[in-house]
Amino acid sequence: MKKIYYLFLILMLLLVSLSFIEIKSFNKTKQNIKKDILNELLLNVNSISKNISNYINKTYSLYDLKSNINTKNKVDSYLNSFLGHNYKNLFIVYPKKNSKFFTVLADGSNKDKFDFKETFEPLQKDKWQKLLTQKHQIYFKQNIKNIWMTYLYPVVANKKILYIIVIDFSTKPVTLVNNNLNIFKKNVIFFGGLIFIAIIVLMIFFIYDYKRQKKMSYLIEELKQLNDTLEEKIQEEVEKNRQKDKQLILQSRLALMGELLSMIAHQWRQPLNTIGSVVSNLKLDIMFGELDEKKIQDSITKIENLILHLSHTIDDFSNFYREDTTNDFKDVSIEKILNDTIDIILPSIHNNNVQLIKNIRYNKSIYIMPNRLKQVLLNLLKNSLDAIKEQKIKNPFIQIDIYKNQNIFIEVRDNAGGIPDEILDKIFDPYFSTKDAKNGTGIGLYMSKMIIEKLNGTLYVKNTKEGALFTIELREQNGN
Amino acid sequence: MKYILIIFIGIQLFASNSETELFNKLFTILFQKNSVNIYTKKYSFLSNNLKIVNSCKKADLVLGELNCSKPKFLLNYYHFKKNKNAIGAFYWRKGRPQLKLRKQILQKYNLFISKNFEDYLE
Repeated sequence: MKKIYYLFLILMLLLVSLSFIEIKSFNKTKQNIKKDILNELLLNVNSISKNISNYINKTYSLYDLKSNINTKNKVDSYLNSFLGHNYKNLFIVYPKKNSKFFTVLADGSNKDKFDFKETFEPLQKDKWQKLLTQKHQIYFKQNIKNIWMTYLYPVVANKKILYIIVIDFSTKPVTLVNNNLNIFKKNVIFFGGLIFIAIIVLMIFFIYDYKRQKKMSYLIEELKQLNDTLEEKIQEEVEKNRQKDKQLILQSRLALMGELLSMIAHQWRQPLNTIGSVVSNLKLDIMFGELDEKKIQDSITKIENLILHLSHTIDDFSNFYREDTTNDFKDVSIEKILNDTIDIILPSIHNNNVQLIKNIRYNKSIYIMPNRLKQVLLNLLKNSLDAIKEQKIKNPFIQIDIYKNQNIFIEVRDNAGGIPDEILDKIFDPYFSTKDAKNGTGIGLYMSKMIIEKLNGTLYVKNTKEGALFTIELREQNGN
Repeated sequence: MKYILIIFIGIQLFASNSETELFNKLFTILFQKNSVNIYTKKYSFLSNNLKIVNSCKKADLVLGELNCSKPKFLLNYYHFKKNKNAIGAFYWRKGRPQLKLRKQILQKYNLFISKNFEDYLE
């Protein structure tokens, strides 16, 4: 920044110096012009004086001139012919001996005319004295502010002044040129001043702009740094979100695991009760001594079947719980997926006297990750069941419709009264739940929506007259 | 126009002041008095030493072409040329001031001439 100020200072000094040089040069030129014009005027006056002296010397004798009034009148007329607006007075005098006065011999003036031999006392006597001494033409201003100058031309013969031709001539051309040059100078100073001011304004603007640009580049640099950090920050946030999602998935799986454990417990209760009953019967038979080989065999077969059923149940749940990978895309019948899901939840449905209606109008295989779809279906069925239980609905039902209309639609509807309109657009948000903390985590529907979107489908909801209607819309995919 | 008028008046005042100074010096020397009575119609005031009087009787000197037998000092070349009894004159010729004094007439009125003014004697 200092450099700019120094540059500005140097430029200003340069401008001021140039202005001074220009003014000096202008004044010198002005003086030269004035001098040249004056010289020209003097040349003219000198030339006139020479002509007059030549004429008089050739035409008249000095005696005639000094004594004959007729000669004076003729010379007056001759001198008069030279007068004009540039020559005011033109007369001839000769010095009186031992006197400061001069005697007039002829006068070409029209007005205020000198008489013949009228004595005349000149102004600026020192100049006249100089003329008498040096015998050389001389000129001087009548007074400082006057435009008129007096030119004295001595006519000399044998080192003696015969007479002096006096011409009062105008220096108006010099004054006019001087005035015009002064006007020009004023204009130049005015425009020079304007240019000077313009340069100062430009320099101020330049400095301001330079500062602004510097500030801007500083801001851009800051912004760049911010952008660089922003990328890192975004990555950090993305990582946080990823971790959050992982956490959600984990929570979701834990919740699912809880549900499944509850369901396993429910499913195991009946066979375990049956096994308990078989074992009790065997004990009673032993007590009463009624135990025979056939009974033992029957009981063992029964227990083996029940254990096998329990084992199957475990396998089913285990398969259900196992997380699909992208390699687990396979062609599976939708009905099978639905039935596998219903198998898990069916005891709960029966226990709550809920009528399950299945309308399967499309039963072809689709290319999908079956366990993921099962998880979603189970979540939707469980939500309907919970709503039915909560609302204590008489003649409750859950209806599942599967059909194809360009895409494959799986609809799960119930008659539990539906979802309040004010929360309808929020139910897919994470951690949003209408259930109490014990029964709901608020991530079931959020995870379901994510799963369906991962399966290249859409999950949406609306209310019917009787209750809620969840629709899974799947785009058919080719499984090679 | 206003400026030209101011300059003109300024020049006139300057000129008249020079004249007054000359008159003051000349007349006080001629009459050898500190106060000279002047009878004139041209000036209403000249200086403290030159007192303007309104009658010929009271006057020491007549300034200008007035009918009075006292010594006459004229202010015009042609009047001076015509009136041979005038003691002198002050007038302008071609923008140049001219002072003329007549020795014989001055002597006639017993007026004193200092060396300063001897050059102007005719």
